Amino acid sequence: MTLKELSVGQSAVIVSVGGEGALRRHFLDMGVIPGAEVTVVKFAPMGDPMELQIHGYELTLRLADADKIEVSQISERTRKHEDAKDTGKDHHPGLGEDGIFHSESEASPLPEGTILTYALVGNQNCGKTTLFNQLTGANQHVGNFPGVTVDRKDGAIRGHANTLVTDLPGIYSMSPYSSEEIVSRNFVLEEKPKAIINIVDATNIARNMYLTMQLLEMNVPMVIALNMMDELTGNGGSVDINRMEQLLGVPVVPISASKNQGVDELVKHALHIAHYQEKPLRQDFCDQNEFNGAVHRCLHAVVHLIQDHAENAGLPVRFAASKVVEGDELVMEQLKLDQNEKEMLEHIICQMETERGLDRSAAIADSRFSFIEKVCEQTVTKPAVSREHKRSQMFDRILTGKYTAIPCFIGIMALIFYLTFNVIGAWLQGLLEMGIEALTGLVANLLAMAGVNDAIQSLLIDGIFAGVGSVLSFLPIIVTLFFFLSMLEDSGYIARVAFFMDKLLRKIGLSGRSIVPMLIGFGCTVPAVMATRTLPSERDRKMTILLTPFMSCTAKLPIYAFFVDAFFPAHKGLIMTGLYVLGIVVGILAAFLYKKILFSGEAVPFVMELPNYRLPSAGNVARLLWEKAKDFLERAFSVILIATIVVWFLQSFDLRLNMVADSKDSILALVSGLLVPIFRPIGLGDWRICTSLICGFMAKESVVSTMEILFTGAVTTALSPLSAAALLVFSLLYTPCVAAIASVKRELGGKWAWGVALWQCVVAWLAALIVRLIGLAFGVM
Amino acid sequence: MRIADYIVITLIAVAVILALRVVIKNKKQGKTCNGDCANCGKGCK
Repeated sequence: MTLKELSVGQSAVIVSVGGEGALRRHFLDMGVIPGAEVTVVKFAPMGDPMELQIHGYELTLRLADADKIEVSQISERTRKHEDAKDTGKDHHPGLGEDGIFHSESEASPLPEGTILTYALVGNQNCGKTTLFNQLTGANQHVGNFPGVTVDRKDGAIRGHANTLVTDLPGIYSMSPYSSEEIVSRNFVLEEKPKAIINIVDATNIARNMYLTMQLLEMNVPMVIALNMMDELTGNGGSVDINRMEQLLGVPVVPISASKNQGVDELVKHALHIAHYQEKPLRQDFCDQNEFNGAVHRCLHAVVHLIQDHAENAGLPVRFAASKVVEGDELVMEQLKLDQNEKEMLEHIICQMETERGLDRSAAIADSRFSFIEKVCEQTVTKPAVSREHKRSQMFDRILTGKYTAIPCFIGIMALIFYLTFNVIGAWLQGLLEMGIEALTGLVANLLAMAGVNDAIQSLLIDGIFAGVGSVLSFLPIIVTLFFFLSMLEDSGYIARVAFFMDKLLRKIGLSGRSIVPMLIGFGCTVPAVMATRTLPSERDRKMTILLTPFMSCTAKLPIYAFFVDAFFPAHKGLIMTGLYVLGIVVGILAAFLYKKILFSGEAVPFVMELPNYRLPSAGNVARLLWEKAKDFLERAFSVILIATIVVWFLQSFDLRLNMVADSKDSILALVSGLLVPIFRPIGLGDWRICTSLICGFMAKESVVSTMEILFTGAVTTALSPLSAAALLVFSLLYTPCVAAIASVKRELGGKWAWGVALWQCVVAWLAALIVRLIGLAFGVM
Repeated sequence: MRIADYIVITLIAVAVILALRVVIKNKKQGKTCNGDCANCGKGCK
């Protein structure tokens, strides 16, 4: 039977692990290896994915992936993973132990003044960025969601200018299968940091230590920061730190990064090991008594065989040997082995596979987990049930319950949008608008009193104040929306949403995590595009960014309201809802197209942990809001300021640079006139409509105001209902505003940004044409 | 032109120069940095 066939509460032992490439590697790295015991905890509301308990932690897997894992059902788990006895009797001696686990005679201190570089490495969501902020005093964004950091960033330790800490993306293993893993691995191998700070989540030591084992093999001075110790000890758990240090051969420092506890001690250890270049005392973790020493003998044979090649390639020999046995092609290439050696290696590994009864990758993963279990059994006393976990389970019963998850999600999102767009955000926006209007009036009066030239007055009031002011008024909405979203992210709810929405989104080639940016897209495309940064794979990120413009943003609401009121007052609600649904339907069709043409292949394997719910930190939320506000203000007073001046110029002058009395003589009208033939087939062949739509590129709100001015209020007589319908559909789908395109450019680059702008126009034009043709076929005019 | 015209034009020019400086600086960096490095996919050099 396969893992998929188990019911909630049933346990099984894994017999074999199928799949291939990155997915299989992920399985093994997560501890899904033959012989491991699993218990099904629950299924997501739509029956997919499933949550498992393995090696003492919870893991989420898609059913399609679980179907590749052969299991044999057992009535009770035999491997108890018993706790260590008598931990906590010896208090961690702290700093007095410098050098205890290292041979001082072998230490080779670096010359004074050398910059001590550190790599901060750890699993996802184990608190790396929190620790990085504590170490460096930086203000990086942290979130209770795996994969917040997607690229490395640097900073010096506070008070130690000769240091440089690099925060690397969260990874589970040093296998080169995901972009994050490659970034981290290359950093350690190529940039050769003087030391590694390995951050380990104390509440989940067994899983976190899988990466630690591989880091130790890299033979770089290392210190382990055992984070979230407060949570562990608070729930009755403990760790025998001294014993753990002995078993691993590196200093281990218990810390709580969020409370800034133990960080000073960690810094002192880190400075010491880097300066004296104290490498791990132990790298050989294979047990010669286990399975007749099959893995042990194989690894040691490989070490001897490749030693010279590894030294020439600058690779740590033990690390290279493990990777060669695992079948890592990148390392094989670097080693430059000749054919004879390759064949010899293959024979050794095949023999190991036969003796061990597991394939090479699984055998290595198993030997690592076997060592980890021994370490944990000797040093870790797990808390009975953590308070945080208990609380999380209670919340999850409702928030991810079979019948309650989706209604709760819809309710929460509706509340957020209601509060943002109708209550808090709208109220703040109103206040800001009043302020901007008052300031505009004041400046207009002052200019008039001073007798300033009419053209300059127009530039300042109709151009800059109107343009920048209208964009600025959106600041409260964006900040409020981000406030709620960061609360959701910090609390750990977003990870749950990804969990239960995964099945639906997978059908269009996306993973569950893409749901968040798409939802934000209904508010504003700019933060939606920014929110895609939390997506782990480049493919999912690009595809999600391309889909967000199909989610109708709130700035388009004035256009819908204006035209529906004017042309279809009897079916107001129906048409408004229909427009939103149409946007989603076209988005889904586009997703299928993207999946087929641009992004073939599957969404990234959905293997993630569900973090415990935590109370969002006020400082973290405030920092995020400040960053968003600062970013928005900077943009409003740079790009948008210049753009409004350009539009004002084009709207106010003709080709001879004379100021025009009527904007139909302006350069803008002339340019818009060129577009009229393009819009004629969809029934919008009027330069004023073209001008309004072009102005909509600056900000969607200005479509209606421009039309009002250009048609002098007689828009209902100038358009037929069918043309209005085509215009509505075109407005729904055509290129997002310049701010959104700028965000796309920032995330994906200029080519993609232009591509999105053009593609959205093509889709909008085609959809409007279809609406017109259907209308004409039914005799609607 | 009056003195007031010159003052307003100078102020607008200063604002445009400052705005251009920001745009050019961001262009040179190859991104419009919003200080949110933790979430930025491009890396800060």
